[in-house]
Amino acid sequence: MPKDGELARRCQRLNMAITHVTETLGALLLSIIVVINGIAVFYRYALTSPIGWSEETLRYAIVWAVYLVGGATIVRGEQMAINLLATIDRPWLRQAATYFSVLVTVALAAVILYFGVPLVIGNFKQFSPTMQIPMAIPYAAVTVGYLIVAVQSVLLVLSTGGQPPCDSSNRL
Amino acid sequence: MSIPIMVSFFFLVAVGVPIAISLGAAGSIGAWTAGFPMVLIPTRFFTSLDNFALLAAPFYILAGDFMNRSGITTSLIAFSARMTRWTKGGTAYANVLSSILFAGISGTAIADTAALGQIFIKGMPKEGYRKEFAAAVTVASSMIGPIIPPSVIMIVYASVARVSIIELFVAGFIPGLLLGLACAAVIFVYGLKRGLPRDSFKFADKSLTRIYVESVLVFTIPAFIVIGTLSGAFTATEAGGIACIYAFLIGRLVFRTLNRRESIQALKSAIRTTSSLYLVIAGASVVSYVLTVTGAVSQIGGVVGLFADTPELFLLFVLLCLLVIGFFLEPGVQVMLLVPIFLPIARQLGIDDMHFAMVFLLSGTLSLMTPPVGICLFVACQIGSIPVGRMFREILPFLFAEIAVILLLIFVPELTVFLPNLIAG
Repeated sequence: MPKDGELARRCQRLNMAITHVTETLGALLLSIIVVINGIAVFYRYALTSPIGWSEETLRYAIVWAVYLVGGATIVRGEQMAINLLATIDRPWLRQAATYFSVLVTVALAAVILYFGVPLVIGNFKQFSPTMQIPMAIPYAAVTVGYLIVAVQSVLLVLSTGGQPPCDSSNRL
Repeated sequence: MSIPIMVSFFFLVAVGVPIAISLGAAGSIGAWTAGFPMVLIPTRFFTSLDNFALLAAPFYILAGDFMNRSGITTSLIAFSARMTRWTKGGTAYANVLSSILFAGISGTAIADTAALGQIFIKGMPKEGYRKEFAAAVTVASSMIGPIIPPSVIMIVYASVARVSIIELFVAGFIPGLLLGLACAAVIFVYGLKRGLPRDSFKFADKSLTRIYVESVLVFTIPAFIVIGTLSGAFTATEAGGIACIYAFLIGRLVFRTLNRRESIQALKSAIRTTSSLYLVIAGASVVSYVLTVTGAVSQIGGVVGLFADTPELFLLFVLLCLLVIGFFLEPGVQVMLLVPIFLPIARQLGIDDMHFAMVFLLSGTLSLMTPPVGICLFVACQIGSIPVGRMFREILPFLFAEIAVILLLIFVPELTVFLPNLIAG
């Protein structure tokens, strides 16, 4: 059984690893999006031969990129939030608010997973109009993304001992 | 229906839950109490972002990031300083001019405050300006960022209101320049009262020719977007992607400062900025959907329409409403939640779409410089280590000047509709 300090360090390391992986995948998707967009314009404008699948690919890719990186934005304290309690000189109150914030995040993720997983499973045989891929793939972005958000929020609060997320942003 | 949603949303926001999560949670509560099938939540989270027009935002954010990391900001500032050095207070005016030029590559006010603030808030006090004044000029002029194209908030607005992105971009030119003039007027009056120092700060160690060439390369971006889109070569969304490639190439080949590591960091930063904005949009789309389907939007709209029955009166109401709501909600959320309520009334009153859009966007953008959610205000305070209260007092004259610009736009619609009408033929 790890001690509190050891647990915090492990959680932080794991969170950093997840952040690194998701940001790298998000950056990769964004670069692919830019390249496909450039190729699509070139084919349509220079070769007068539009690519049919480009728009759909770009839409699904950006949805995946946005949800993949959602957790990283929370870890880095880049999610917009108004912390009215930050100015109150009651550490326990600030800590309670942080735990409550994580609880709400996990609850929302639970709702999305509970109703989103059947949505994904139900769309395995539904195919997208141009690429003909199962619609489960794009729909899965939301559930996977919010699962990551919930996991990273919990890891963050475990690694910081209930400090507000923005306080921990400099650690990464 | 709107009451449980609003109460839960404001409570969650007040205790520090991220706005994206607060909106999603409040929307879920609303959907549950209204008896909607809860599969609505993941479905709306997906469909709200599955929109080709929304691709434009990450493109413009990335293009701005490439430019910034290439060191273009210092060239733009040096160019602006050259243009304004003949007058007293030249650096303060250069701050405003830099914001106008930087608006052509950044698309957000926060990027403007962060990039220009690092140089002006730290540099201007060395010339004799008060630090609070330097920060106030930076924050106030950064409001031009989301108004002069390209603009991220306009992309979000266009996707919600179903209007042309390029027409919005074009409509933003005159109001953006008017904001710049308003800031310059406040600096002028300030100079009359307290005096302004002469320009003596050296911003860039580059030759004049190089500064001009680099600046011209940057100015071509907004022109390229507008001309390329109007000529039918590409859409405004695609233009963003092309702008990314252009920014990347000039960063690598002309400035030679954008290395592989910086490029990867720019990609990571751009997708994080996009994610943080789009998760808010996804959450707001649930709230907006529930409010619309339950009829709450039309009820609120009906009440508003009762006492704001002329175009001017209605737009004044929009301005007032956004000034108050702006204390709590940032512009992205305002667009998602309020455009579906206000736009139908504006159309009913015969207000031009572009006229309404500009009044709405300018009024909403002011929330970036007012506490407690004025993120530009906080960024500037952080850069200059200035207490928020002292900083806000310094910003007030600029805030009033920018409100005066909005009033001018309300009563002279031609200022917003002239250019879009010109391109629409």
